[in-house]
Amino acid sequence: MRASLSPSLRSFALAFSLLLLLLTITYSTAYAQGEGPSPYREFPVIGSRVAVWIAAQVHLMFAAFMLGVPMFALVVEFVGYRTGQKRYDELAREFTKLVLVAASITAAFGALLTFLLFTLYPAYMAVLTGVFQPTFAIYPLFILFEVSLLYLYWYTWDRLDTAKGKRWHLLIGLALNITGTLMMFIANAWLTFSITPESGGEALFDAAGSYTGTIWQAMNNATWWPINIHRVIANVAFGGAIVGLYAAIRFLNASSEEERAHYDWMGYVGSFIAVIGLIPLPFAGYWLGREIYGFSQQMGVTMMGGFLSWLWILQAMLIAVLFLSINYYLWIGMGRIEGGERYSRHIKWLLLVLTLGVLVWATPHNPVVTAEEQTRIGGAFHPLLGVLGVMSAKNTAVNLMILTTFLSFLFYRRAGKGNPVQFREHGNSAVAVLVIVLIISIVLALSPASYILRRDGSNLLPAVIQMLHVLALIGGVGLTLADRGKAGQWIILGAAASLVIFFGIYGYFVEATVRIGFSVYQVLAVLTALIMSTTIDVYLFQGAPNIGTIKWGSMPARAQYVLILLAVTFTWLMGLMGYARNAIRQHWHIYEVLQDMSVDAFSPTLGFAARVISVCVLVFLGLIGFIFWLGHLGEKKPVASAAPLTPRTLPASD
Amino acid sequence: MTNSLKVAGFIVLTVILFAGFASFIPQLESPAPEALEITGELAGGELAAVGEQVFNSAGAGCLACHGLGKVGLRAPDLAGIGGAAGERVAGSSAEEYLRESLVDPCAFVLSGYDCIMPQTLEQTLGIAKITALIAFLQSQGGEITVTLSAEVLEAGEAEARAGIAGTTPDDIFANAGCVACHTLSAVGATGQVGPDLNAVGGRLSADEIRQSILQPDEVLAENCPTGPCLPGLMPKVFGDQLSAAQLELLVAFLSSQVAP
Repeated sequence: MRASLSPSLRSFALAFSLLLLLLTITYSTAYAQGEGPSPYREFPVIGSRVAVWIAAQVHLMFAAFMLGVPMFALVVEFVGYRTGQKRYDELAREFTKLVLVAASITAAFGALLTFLLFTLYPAYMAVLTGVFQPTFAIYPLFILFEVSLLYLYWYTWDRLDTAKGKRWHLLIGLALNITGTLMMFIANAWLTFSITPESGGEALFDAAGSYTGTIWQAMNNATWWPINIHRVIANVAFGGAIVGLYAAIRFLNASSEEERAHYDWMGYVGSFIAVIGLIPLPFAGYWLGREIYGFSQQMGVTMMGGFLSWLWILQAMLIAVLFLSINYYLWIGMGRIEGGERYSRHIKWLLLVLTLGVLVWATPHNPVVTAEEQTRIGGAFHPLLGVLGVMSAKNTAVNLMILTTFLSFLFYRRAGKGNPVQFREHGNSAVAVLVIVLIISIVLALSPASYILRRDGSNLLPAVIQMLHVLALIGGVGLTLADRGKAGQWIILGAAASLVIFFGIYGYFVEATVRIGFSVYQVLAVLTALIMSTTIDVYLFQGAPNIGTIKWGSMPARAQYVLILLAVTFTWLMGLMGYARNAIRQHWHIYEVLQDMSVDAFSPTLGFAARVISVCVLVFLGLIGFIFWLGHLGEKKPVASAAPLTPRTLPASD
Repeated sequence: MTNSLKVAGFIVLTVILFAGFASFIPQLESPAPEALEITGELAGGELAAVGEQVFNSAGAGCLACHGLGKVGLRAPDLAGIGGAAGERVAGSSAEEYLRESLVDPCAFVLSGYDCIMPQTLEQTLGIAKITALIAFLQSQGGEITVTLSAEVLEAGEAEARAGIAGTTPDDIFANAGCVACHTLSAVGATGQVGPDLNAVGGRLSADEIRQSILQPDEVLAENCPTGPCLPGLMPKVFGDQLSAAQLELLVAFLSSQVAP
């Protein structure tokens, strides 16, 4: 496999170096020239904005691939190392190979973006390079370092394939991921500075428009960390979704049962990682939204209630597709596990909750109306549906959808299992782990309660609810220790759902400044429920008898199309969020500092944005298809022999 | 190969569906504000052209009520106002009348209309845009007499950028121009355009008050002096002009107005 790819890798390395050189020359030239005679230049036919938009978006998609897939590879390699199952190692290796090819395309689009920005928007880039000058010099070095680590990670795979060497190899993988993430943080600083050019509430420009802050203040601006965290999590999910896409395509084109079994399993692993990443994403989004409101009420209003308000309806539709796809995939997946039919009767209820959640999330807060219509209905809100359009309802809906998806996952896990093992059979170490998890969960659950009491000691109701939640957690653990773990799990999950619903309703009766904190309580309740239920579940079914086998490779073709839909939706959603992130700046290059005076100063409609996003998605997926094809060309032997531990049927414990 | 084509078709179809849905829902564009590029002295038709941009801008909001060559939704048709302005009030020139109508619109109200015009234009637009507006209105059947220098424009823009001054609720309320439209005994305001704010804290939550300031058209008040309040009446500029601290101070102050 390696031997056949090496020459092409060398040529990619050469191309990559040339691109880096181009990037450096472009930067140096533009920076030396300063603002130049004109703040704008025009790109032919499609215009400067669309040219930069496409280059940036496709680059970002590849960058997410470059960051997300190595995260996936490292985790999977680590699982293989810990479990001793060679197929995990092979899976990690298979995807690292694809990352190698993607590296040069990512660099190509990065160089193109840089070239376009410096050429078409010299005045904006002069300000940006003036503020961030040292980072623009360091960034190419990071690229070189990351690529070096990537090559090292790939080429030492066989050499370090020993018990001791594997640790070193994992260390290289970790260094690769850390380097990539740090690179992303630097690029995020450039982006977020343009959105929120203030740090710690301090403005960074004086009245004359001169920069007065330090470079650290510029980096550590109001939205830097929220975007950093949001993107790290999103990259994990994206990496999983792309793995699922690859697995689905290979499954559909597989020529043997063994191949189908291998790619069925790969699709499951990819979708599992995507779900892990997807679940905390809304929480990171709330944090980002809160920081935007904190920076500028007007920007927050523009984002949620202004011309972008319908964007969130579209986002809700896409999230709905993601949630429904994942759940549907898990429900179909239960069909390949003997014993899974025991849980199929619950599916209709799960579907009902998901559908209601989607409907609430997709309800617009204030539909677009004319002045006359507005006068007739007495405002911009629909008298009935407007109630469902507010954040209290939406937060409640999404948290319940997350809990529902988790239930689907629990049912999937248990599908091939018989009665659970009594918890005490796992000994004192299991009890210790459970108690530690409980303590962490209590701390998480109590922190909002103490905050509530400090903030407003006169209103004890929210704090009492939090305390009841803590009691439920303790009760759940108590039942688990009394060998009634399933009941314990239901109490924990039920308590979380109750708390989510309570604060969802109570949110209508308090101020926005109080209500915004409720989303944190809801999130913490769901997170603690997820952590505790998973911990209990792992022990309950570790060593539990199998009542059937997993028939890998027996998934129907429609399940593969669900995985493809997942990847396409995720990629499209990334594009949409990119538009939202930039559109909230409206007619500013740097918000309220450097005004956009170009012909593209207006923010385009959602329909126009959707067409540009669609082009980006198709370009990206087309190139990804090309990368998959290249990876396939490099294979010398069938997958079956590369993954000898992939029989068609495996015990349900696998 | 067939499967690969099916997958490609499925992907393209999915993308088209997403783009189609996005094109189907209401389309809104966020226009850039009109740039007033002035170098040196501006007068006559050039200044009127700038004024026309201001007149048509969402920031000024003139067309929310007035018509130009047709009856406005709730305010007079401004066609020919340049010629009529000098004859409306005895002793006032056309320029003086128009300036007063923009800065202090309730000083003279045309018969058959109520004074519902916001009295905050001087604060929200600045003196330069007001001058340009006067030139545009004078150009509607009259002679353009006003001029605008780049220095005045720059001073006006700088004033607009500086936002609203004030660190106490009273000052913010006054400097933001709230007094011009609202009645509030605590600060001696007697405006008769917007809702009476005495006891506003008793009927609206702080959240609702905040929304009324930032997004005044989201929920229309029922109790304007001339009947239910109309959309577009209150300027939507306070999110830009008030700092977050000033906004919260104002919200807290209004929330405390509970006594009738």
